[in-house]
Amino acid sequence: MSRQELISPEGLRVDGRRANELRRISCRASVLNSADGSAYYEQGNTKVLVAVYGPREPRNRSLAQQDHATINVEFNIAPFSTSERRKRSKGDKRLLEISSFVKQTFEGAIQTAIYPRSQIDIYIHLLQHDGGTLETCINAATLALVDAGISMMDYVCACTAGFIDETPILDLNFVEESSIEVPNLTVAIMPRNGNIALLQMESKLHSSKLEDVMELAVEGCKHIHRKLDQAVLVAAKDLADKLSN
Amino acid sequence: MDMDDTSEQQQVAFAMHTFERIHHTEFQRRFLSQNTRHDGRAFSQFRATHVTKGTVSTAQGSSTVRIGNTTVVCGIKAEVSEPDVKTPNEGYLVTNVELSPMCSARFRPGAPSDEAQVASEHIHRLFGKAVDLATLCIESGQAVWSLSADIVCLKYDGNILDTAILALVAALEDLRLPEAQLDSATGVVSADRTIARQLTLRKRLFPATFALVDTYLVADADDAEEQLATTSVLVVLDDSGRLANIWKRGACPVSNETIHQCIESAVERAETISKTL
Repeated sequence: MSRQELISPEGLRVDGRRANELRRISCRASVLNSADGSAYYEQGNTKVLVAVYGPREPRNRSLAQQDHATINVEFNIAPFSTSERRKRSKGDKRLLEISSFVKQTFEGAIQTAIYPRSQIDIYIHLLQHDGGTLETCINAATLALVDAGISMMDYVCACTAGFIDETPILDLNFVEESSIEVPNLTVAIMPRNGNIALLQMESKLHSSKLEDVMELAVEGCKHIHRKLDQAVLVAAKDLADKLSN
Repeated sequence: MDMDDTSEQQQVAFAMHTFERIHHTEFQRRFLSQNTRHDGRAFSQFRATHVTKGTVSTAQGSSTVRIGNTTVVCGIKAEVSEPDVKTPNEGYLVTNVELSPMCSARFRPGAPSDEAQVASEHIHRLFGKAVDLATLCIESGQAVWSLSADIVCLKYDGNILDTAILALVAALEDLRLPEAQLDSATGVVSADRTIARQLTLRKRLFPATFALVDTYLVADADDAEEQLATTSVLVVLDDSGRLANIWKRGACPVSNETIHQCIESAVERAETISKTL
């Protein structure tokens, strides 16, 4: 198969974006009333729904930690979300990997010490997949955790970046992500102090280029932070209106 | 609004939601005895129903259905597979209902619950007759379409069967299959995406579920009412008004009149939802 052109001579990508352009983001908190916190997050054609339950009593007593909360992340992909129907396999390694990344990221961000002997469940459901699963999961989970009123050090905002034809590109879609030549870097930062909560890269990239790609991804994270902040504000206003009525 | 506990000489006043928490059954009964329900509906009233088709672009057919707070997404993926030897001209329709822990605190992670499996199986049998499986044939005995319909519940607030059935009807109507041909020399099926074929349903199905709470027959019970219900009756009608399915579940026996009453209400319900679908 011939190599698909990922950047046109005019400098446009397969979906018509420029190199440093994010996909359209739309998100909303408090979408489920049964959960303590929830969020719906869309980035381009990738759509996720997150529900947060807790802090609550651990289902399994032996899981309870005396000095901090246990975080449990379940990641689930709707079978119709991908172009090929996903065969159900128990303990799919890829799913476990993503849920463990999300878990590790939020163990650092949530102030677990103030919820001893309790459990926080984060259920993530991917409804439509078009690349950037991990970044959307983390962003959506942040919004849902804020909605649940769980104390956190800061937001965690994630973004991906890659490198094609000597240009760093922001927010890879599925086509770009599945190309072997494109390195796929996912960064999650805590925007207030700029600390890196998660950094993961697949495929190879020259070490001198890493800084440029990182810089672009961090820019993307900051933009996403503003988006999330707006969504939190909208949800808070909604709640305030309900309380005053 | 305060409620009084009249059972004792001591009078205790509670806020309404406190009362609901500590004595769920009595809370519901008070409403029912006043000929109303806790969300203000009449006994025979269904919750607002919204149907949106084509909500998932990665699926060949999809829909989102909301009945009150219960929300499901149904996505149909079409794949080519070999037909069964006994039915060389028929494709497959595989249904799956997913009740994940996300949609309600009641569901546990892990293997699908009995409730989800029973719903999947019931819907599968129901639609086996509604879909003409012979239209899914590509080449007799060689290749057929296999439709996998996954019904994912996003928000659970009772009456999952009605919602799931409606979602599947809507998703099947939204389904567009590419024109496929089997190359007999190579044995490869090629599909032309430019020609989209719609699937014709033999009949559209209109479900209506009723629950018996104490002696009161309520339509479209929500989660709180379902917890108390001793029996539920599912009536499915097709578009010509014929009964496609009746399913009475639960231990409590019901009278013949009750069943008739259910069917009458179901006919009315079918008329209303046929307009929204």
